[in-house]
Amino acid sequence: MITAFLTFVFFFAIVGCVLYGRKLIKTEKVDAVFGNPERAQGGIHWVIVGSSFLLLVWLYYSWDIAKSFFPRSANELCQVGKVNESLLSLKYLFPIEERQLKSTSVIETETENLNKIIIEIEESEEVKSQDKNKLLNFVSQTKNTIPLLTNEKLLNNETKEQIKIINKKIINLTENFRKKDYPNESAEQEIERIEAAKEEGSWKASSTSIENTIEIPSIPKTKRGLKFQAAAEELNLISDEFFELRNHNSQYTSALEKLKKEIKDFRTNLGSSEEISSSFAKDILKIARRIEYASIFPPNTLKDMQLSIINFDKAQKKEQGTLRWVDILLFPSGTIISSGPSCSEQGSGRWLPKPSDTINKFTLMLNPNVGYKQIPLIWYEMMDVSKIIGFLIPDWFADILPGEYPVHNEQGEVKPNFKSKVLSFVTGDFNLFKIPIPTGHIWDSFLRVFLGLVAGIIVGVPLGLFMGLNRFAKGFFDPLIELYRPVPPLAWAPLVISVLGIDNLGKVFLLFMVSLSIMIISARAGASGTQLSKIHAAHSLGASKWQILRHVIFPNSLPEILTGIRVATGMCWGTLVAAEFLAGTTGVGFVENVAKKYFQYEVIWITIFIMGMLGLLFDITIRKIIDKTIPWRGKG
Amino acid sequence: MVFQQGALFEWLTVAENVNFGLRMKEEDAVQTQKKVDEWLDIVGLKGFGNTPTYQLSGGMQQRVALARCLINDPDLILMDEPLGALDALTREKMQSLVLKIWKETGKTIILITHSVEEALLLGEKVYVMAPRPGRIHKEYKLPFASMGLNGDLREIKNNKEFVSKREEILSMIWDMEEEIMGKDN
Repeated sequence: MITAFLTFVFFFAIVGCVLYGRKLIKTEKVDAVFGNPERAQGGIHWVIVGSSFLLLVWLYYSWDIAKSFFPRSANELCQVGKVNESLLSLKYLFPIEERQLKSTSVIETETENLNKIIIEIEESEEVKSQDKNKLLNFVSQTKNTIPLLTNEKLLNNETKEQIKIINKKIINLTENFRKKDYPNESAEQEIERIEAAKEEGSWKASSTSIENTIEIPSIPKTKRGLKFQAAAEELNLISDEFFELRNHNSQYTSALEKLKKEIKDFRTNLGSSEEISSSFAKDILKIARRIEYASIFPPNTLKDMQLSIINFDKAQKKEQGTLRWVDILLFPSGTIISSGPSCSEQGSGRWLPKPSDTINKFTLMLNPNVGYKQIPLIWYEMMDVSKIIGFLIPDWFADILPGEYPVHNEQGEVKPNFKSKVLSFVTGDFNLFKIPIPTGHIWDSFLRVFLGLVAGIIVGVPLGLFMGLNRFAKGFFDPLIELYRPVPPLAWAPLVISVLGIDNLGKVFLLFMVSLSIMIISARAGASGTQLSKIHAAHSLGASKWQILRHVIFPNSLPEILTGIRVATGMCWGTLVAAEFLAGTTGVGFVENVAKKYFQYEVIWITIFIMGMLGLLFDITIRKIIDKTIPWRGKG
Repeated sequence: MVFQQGALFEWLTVAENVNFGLRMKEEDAVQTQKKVDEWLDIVGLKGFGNTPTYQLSGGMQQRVALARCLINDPDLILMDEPLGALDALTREKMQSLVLKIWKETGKTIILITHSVEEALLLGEKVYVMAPRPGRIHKEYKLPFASMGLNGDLREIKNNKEFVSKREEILSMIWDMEEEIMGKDN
């Protein structure tokens, strides 16, 4: 409903804005010549066209338009898919969609395989010459079985009859299928079917579970759907019957039995050192077996059946009627296919989730009780302040106090003394009041980037300034940094993660490495780029070395440092997501990686959206900070 | 030292720039504030104390630089082409300011300039320098600076003696130039 409305809104927005744009071009007087950037100014209407177009493409290619205008089409196409699936197993025997008759291509490939084996046997140096003759004899025997199958005179009458019966069944089905009331469903059956279909639900992604990815109901909801489903079932029976049929006349059977026996005898008589001869014999036997089960028939035997299958195909395409046009027009780049008991979207509708489904899943994931893998996306939990104190104060603080920890007495009791009390304080083993602490996948990712970045800034900025001002520091640290910096951060990831663990420490350290090199380089550029006249001025005003560093060089390099932070944030964010792909149990990247494994396309798109938004948020925040702290930039 | 481009610290306000030297010496803040106000008054920037320096014009920036230098009560002031980057009108105003400060403080000021007129106007002693190798070519003692303390600078510029001195020095510089570069055409 909403989608249908939005489709019209977007469509008319595009048309309206394009018309407005045309009108503007005709009426507006433009003094600017080509190349003048003024010509690129303004144009909100083109922004509307752009975004409407994008959204319309999303609606169209995610098949949401099809869903809102023809909500039952997916269910019907599922039944068509069932027919196509059953038909395919019969069709592929004939040159309908294939180039050759199945029998022809089997004969061709197996003859080729046999010729290859002949060459291999002849060239082999390890096979004894008498064995070679035997093996070549097996090959020619195998070859000779083929004409026994393709000779029409040898074809059993019984087999002939059966083919005729199957053919008749297909013709009957085609006729029935064209009838309006096929498959003669009783009123009771109809009620039952409609009840079952209702229970199965409609075409949409589950909005109560994240894991469930089945979207297409497979019980037919409409008469047309039922017709196709019934035909599919009948076709399945027919093709099963056909594939049980074997063209094994008595001459072929005896020839094959003889060959099998001879090969068996040959292999049992071989010594253990003649494995190669044995494997050649085994290969020949395999080919003979493949020929046995390939349902090779004489030419022209199946001609009638081919014709009736083509007729049925035509009939079913005709019966699709308008559904066929819906399929072509509203299911772009793909369609609904059936495989086994269930139907699924195949094509853009599968990997591009419908806006409505995506929003439903997102709302579901935002619910802290659902989240993803039992962890909310972003929420808070109550944490005792004592835990934070315990985290902040190092445990060895208690160890260095004088005295000993308490020892248990004869009654088996442990009496705490001062030292043990201090220990329980520094480990956070006591109760204070609770405060809310953010938690969840998004928060974890954010915290990792933040910690890595802060660590990089704290170490990198002083080191960079030092390197920009001091020959020793530059010479000493330069080789180290220049060696590790050009390595892509993700190349470090496996090493860092396996040494420091898949939890936060490894990832934060990786991000620290990323931000450190960027911060060093930018701080260094800032320090060495300070105008000499400012330093001279500070000197002449009586500032000391430290004062010059603190009051002149540091503020002067702030623009470079802040730009460095901005670059580092972007790099850290990119690296983090990839690092979370590699290993971990929380984080936005982890969510996407798991969703990828289970083909949860909605979740994948949601994580992509979250990452984009967070990246944008970081950038905007830092840009705001830059504008606040260095307003003089570009105005000197 | 006063430089051609001011060399102010953009991240500080006018007042913070001016009191930079005193702050580095960690002098009494109240005392410093008083001095800053005084000096801003002298250089004609009263009320600009909290303005960021990047919002000032070139002349104002030079005046801040002057104040920043003088507030430390230096024995000697070195001005390296302080008025070179200013427009003509501001330049004349600043010339009067330099003279005024010279008169009020009595400090020794070494001023480097490319303008012969400026040198004649402001200098008690003028050293003409010659290039390659840099050396003092000629020394003049001049009365115009003392005249300028009381009189109008523009009148002095039309003074006959002033004009003849200017022409003398200019032609001397041209001669030097020709010696080095070779005569044109």
